[in-house]
Amino acid sequence: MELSLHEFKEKFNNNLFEIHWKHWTTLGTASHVKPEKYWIIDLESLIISTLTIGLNDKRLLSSSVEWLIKNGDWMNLSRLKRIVKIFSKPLPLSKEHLLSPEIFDLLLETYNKNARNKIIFKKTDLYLPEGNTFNEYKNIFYSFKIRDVVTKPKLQNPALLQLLLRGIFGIDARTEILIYLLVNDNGNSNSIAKEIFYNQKNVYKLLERWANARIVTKISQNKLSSYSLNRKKELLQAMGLKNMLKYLNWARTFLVLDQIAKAIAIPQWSDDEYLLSSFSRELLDDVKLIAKSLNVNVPEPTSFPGKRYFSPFASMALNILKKLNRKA
Amino acid sequence: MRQVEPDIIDEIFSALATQIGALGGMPLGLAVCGGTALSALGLVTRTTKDVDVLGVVLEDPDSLIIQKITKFPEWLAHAAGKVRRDFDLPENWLNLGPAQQVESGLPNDLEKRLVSRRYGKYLTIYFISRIDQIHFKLYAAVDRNDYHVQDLLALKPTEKEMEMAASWVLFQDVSEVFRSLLKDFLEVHNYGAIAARI
Repeated sequence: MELSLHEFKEKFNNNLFEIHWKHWTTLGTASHVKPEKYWIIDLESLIISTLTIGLNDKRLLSSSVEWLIKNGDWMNLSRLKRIVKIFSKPLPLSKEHLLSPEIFDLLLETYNKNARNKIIFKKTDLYLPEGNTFNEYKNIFYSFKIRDVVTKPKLQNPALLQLLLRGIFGIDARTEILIYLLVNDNGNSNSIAKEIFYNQKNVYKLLERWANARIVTKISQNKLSSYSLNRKKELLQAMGLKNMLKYLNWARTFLVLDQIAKAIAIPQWSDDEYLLSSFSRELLDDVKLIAKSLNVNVPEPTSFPGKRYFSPFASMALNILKKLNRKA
Repeated sequence: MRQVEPDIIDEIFSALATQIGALGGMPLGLAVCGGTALSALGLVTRTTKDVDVLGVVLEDPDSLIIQKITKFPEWLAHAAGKVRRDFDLPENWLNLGPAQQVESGLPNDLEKRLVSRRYGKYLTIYFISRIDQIHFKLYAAVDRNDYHVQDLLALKPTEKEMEMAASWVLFQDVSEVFRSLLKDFLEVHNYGAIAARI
């Protein structure tokens, strides 16, 4: 059955926001949504994605800011900035940016006004957000008030493995490297750094140290060595985790989903199935990666010329969201 | 890869207009000839592999002027590339193949006979008229036995129209060899009286 644009927009946004609420609920934000039980949550990706789409759910944005103010010690600022960079690119076929860095500055300013520990940052003057978007964000951040809707995260929750590991190792690349090696057979410093949004040299140094300490086994392959984690089961047991939840690259996933959310909200695009179809073809390489990891079929674009691609693409996007929203 | 089917010509031009707007281009007029113009005006309905652009159409208050261009502006080439991908069209689906003709001479008053169709805010396509198609098709068909001949015959030119076209093509190629080829062509296709007169 053909999916109408109106129907798609509504379902897409509802599902996307539900995922965000689910993750924030797991982290300790009050809501009626059940917590995440299937995926490992990625804090930095969640913060940036919530900021990106937050204008359409101000309560979600405000709750996330409150969580940061109260639990910001768990946040890895340098990783956050790396992820902001990938979200700051222009939207395909548009002059608009997915997330203007000035909006990220507003988040940091609000954090600094309210949190105990301050973040030192240099204000961006690279882009000018288009239209009223920046003012709308300003209104939200300038009128921000603590509503006491946040508690501390419960680290024993398997979805919060990232925070648990940060509790053990501290806030640095070790947590994400370990998660990567727990879910993959092996990886080299390049592939790991790219996947987890850290500096490659830093990842390499840590892996070498772990190889010396026999935490990982170094497998030499030409110039670039791969590393595999030793005694995974014992490690998980030591952390009190019987089974690991599923891993997903949430930064890349949110990046694609947020771009779609932004595109369907652009007034000139909102009724243009051709433009949205064309836009979806722009995202196709990234969408295919996500769809593959979720076992979702991507409709072949050449079979649907012009605007005819919108409906099959929209159905696939909803299918992706359904899989991301699945219960344990 | 797909061809430009008659039933999606308007959709393709609308898509091109949308992309021009999205990619920051300027409003533009293009003079189009060839199979696309034939199909768009319902003169000969057939698929074509490309859209032949004669040139850019500039609008004066009282008249239209076709200006030769050697290259599409970057934003138009970019927009055409997006449309190519979106409709799975051939690489050079929008091309300036016949652009040289603007310099070597167009049939008299061709601009006055252009049939315009507007696609959104950014694109107006000016299709050449039936009589001008007869001129171009005769020129292309003389020494060939391909789709140009089929197109020309499908246009069912009257004797008067064919004679006008024959006079024009003789200005395009003044060689005796060409005159002889033209005469042969006209005779073979039942326009022997014209062949005798030229």
